[in-house]
Amino acid sequence: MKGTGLPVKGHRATLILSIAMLVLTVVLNQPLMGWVMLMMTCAAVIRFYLFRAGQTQKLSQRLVNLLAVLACIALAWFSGQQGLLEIMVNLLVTGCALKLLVLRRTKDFLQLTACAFFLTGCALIFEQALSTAIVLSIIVLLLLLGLQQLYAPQLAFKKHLSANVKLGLQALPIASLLFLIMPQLPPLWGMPAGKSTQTGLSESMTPGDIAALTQSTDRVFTATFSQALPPPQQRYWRAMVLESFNGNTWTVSEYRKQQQLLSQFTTRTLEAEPQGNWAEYQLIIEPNASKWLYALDVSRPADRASLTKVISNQDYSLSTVQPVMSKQLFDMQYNADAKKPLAANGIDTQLNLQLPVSGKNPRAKDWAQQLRHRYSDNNALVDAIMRYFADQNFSYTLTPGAMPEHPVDTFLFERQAGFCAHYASAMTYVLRETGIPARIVSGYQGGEAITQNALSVYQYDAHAWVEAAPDGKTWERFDPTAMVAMSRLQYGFQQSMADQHADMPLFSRARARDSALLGGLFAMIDTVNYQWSRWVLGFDNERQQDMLTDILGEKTTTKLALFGLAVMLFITGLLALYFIPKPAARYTDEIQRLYDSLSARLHKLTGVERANLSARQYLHLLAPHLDAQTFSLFEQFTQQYEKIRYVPSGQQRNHYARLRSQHRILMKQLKKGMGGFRPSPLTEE
Amino acid sequence: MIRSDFDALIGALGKHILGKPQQIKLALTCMLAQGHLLIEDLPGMGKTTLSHALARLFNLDYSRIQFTSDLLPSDMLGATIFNAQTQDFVFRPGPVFNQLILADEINRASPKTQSALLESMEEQQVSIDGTTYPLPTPFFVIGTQNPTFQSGTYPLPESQLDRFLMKISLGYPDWEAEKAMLSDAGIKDDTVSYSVEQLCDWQQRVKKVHASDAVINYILRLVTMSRTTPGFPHALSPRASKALLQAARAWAFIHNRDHVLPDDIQAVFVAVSEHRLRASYQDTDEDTSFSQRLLESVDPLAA
Repeated sequence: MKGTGLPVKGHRATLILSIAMLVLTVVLNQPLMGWVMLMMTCAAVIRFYLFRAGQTQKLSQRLVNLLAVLACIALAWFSGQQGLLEIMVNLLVTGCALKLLVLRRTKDFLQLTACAFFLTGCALIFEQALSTAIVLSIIVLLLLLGLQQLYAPQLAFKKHLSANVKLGLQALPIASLLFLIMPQLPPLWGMPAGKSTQTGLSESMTPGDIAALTQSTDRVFTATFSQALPPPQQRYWRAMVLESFNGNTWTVSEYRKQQQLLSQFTTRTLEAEPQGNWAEYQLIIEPNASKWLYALDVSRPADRASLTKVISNQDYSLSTVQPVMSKQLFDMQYNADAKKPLAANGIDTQLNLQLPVSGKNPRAKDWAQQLRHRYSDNNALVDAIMRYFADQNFSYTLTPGAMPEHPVDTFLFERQAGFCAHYASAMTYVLRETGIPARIVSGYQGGEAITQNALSVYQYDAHAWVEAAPDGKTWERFDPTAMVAMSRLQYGFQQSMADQHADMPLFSRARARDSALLGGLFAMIDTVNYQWSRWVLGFDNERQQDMLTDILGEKTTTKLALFGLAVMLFITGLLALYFIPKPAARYTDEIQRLYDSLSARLHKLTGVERANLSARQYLHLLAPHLDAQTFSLFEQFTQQYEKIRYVPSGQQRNHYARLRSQHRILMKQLKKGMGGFRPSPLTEE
Repeated sequence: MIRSDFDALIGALGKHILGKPQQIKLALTCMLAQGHLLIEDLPGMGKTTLSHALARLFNLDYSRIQFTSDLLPSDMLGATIFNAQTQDFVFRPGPVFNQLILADEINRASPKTQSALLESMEEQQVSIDGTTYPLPTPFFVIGTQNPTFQSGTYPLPESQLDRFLMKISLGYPDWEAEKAMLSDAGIKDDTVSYSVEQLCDWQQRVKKVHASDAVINYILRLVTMSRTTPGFPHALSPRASKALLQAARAWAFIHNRDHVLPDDIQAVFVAVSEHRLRASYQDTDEDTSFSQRLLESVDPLAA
């Protein structure tokens, strides 16, 4: 049978591979199911044990086959709950774990290593943070070490490591150059969306059902402004607009969804030169598998590249054409002073006066009627509602308890405690009852400045507020939550929740605020990660073009071609630097110099190379190519060479002299008899 | 004259083992270099015939030990027995006390017995019950083993393989040789024969063959290459480089030279080093030969 068996005990290559696999599994924890991770851990532990104890009685093939069948059934069972991509990754890891158990031959080892390289690539689909990139590089290093250990087990580990690092350092400049210069092709196929990966805001909101809001500290996006940061009061990041209400739940209206689908297929154009005060900013969105974009009021794509990816909806929300599956960068611009007029066709009014016909929330309805009677002016009416929140004993809490029956009534007149969704929902409902178009906007509010001009927004910044049109013409923003928790808006979520710290996890970002050291550390990691996403992950086609323009000035075909050529030459130069053999050391040995110059000469004339043959073998090899006289001269020379080299008492002064004179004669003979050589049979054809 | 001696000698041996001059020369080289020989081959390839012929040629005391899984060290080394007449314990030497031992199918014996033999090979003496008995000189062991993939074998560990100076395999004879063997079976020429003293003399003279710096550097380059290049499961030890030089000297000697050439090293290199380079768990029928690769990558001439 082909392929060689591998030893079990003390086989370091296998141990390194197991470690790499284990670390890889930990990195891949997001898509992997618990039992798959457990299986890989078991496989690695068994390998550690075999490495130490060298138990020859390995797991029987039958048992592993049984495990494989069971694993397949389990995967099939869970495949409904997970996306296709996740299941495939799970399948691959399961296969690797089982193979690791029965690793017997060199072939198996190579297969496993190849799979591990592939999985390393897969891991980048799920996470692209700098830390992940570093860990993955270490895994690649480990895998290469394993391969080296497999093929050259007799060499010291340190030697492998240094060879590896050296190779890596050699590859680094070439890789970075290619990263900067190579044209970035669009992906050849789409990534299947995972079910479990969709995070962030949901498209429906049922304030009454939520008894307690859990706060996540995951980052949602980072915004980099070309000018100063917007003031805290303006940091309302609109995601989606909830216009449809059934008495309990607010959802995005079906009409808007259809419009959104339609506008995917219409051509979008950049508006003419913007009127007013538009400021540019850049969004780096963390992967969330949803299509909603987060933008300041009123935003629009700033350049052509973003325009192709972004849809501007009629309700002033923005969405992307493809779900955001990996970190993405959008160039936007916003105008804080821009008006948001209602659509001319009256659809806005129609949608935003809609109320459920059920007899729910009767007290709120009555209250709305009273308000309508008291205030004829719409603006005064809105003020009255806002004042109501301020004057009554309302409080802000994350744990309001459930309000299943008549949620608006319960909130307005009984509990009087809740979070943004409750306030926004109640106010919108009452406004609609009074005949003023109103809707809920959900998104994020606030953000944490991580550099001079960049804001990071986290999941706990999620917020909901009200948009109403008291004059029936333009939308205005009202934030009832602000009436009860001013600090929530001015200083951000962290500050206002200072008293609720007890609920926070121990090492959360929120807690870190208390400790200068931890806080500093978090801030530093944030900054590094931000720069990483901005400069490395965000380096897309457009930035590449910008960079080229910066370097070349105006782009002409000739310039681009010359530039490409120059880069190619540079890379070739770098490679040549590594691969061209160093010029041979100067001869310390006169005899060898004489012999080598002669054999080089003969090689050139006859085409027969010495190539690690001994002097005697070379002489015989050359015999058919030399004429009798030259051959006998070379034979004498070879004998003299051997005499000096190998025979005792051969190293005498007169022997050297003789060799030198023979060399001289032979060289002369070779020069003279240039035409007299028979070429080698190979070149004769 | 030495020259004619060796030609005649090799010719005489060639009448016993037809068509295998290279293997015969290597076996002779091994004997002159005072090393031990391991022959790995399938049954019936002439392993036993070769050792018989060598023993007869030099008039050596010869014994054959058939290794089986139940062979005990005492079966081979000998034992102390109570003599009822003299009321005394006497040592009865075992078959190992001979000048040429054929250890047949050495990898069928248990590791304990294997190591007992290999120890006596290395020390050239046997210790039983606290008394040390020297083995005769010359002492030459020809071990034969079946390929490890055959059933019922205990593969020799690397450390013990190292004790054999050379490992050769005979292989099937070619058409002509086998035909000649079948047609004149039984006709053997035993007229050429040498004394034990002659053999010892040659062995002493082999030691005096000159190895120049250039040759020693070549050996060093070969072994260093095996230690520093990826792709060799086992590097060559200093014992291996010593063995290499010794074998090359003997090879030069039977070619009637008083100095070693790189060609001599190349001639014996595969036989001396392949079994040291190859890991024991690797099948021997693999096509890449480690020693061949070393030979191809090292220049014999560089100073």
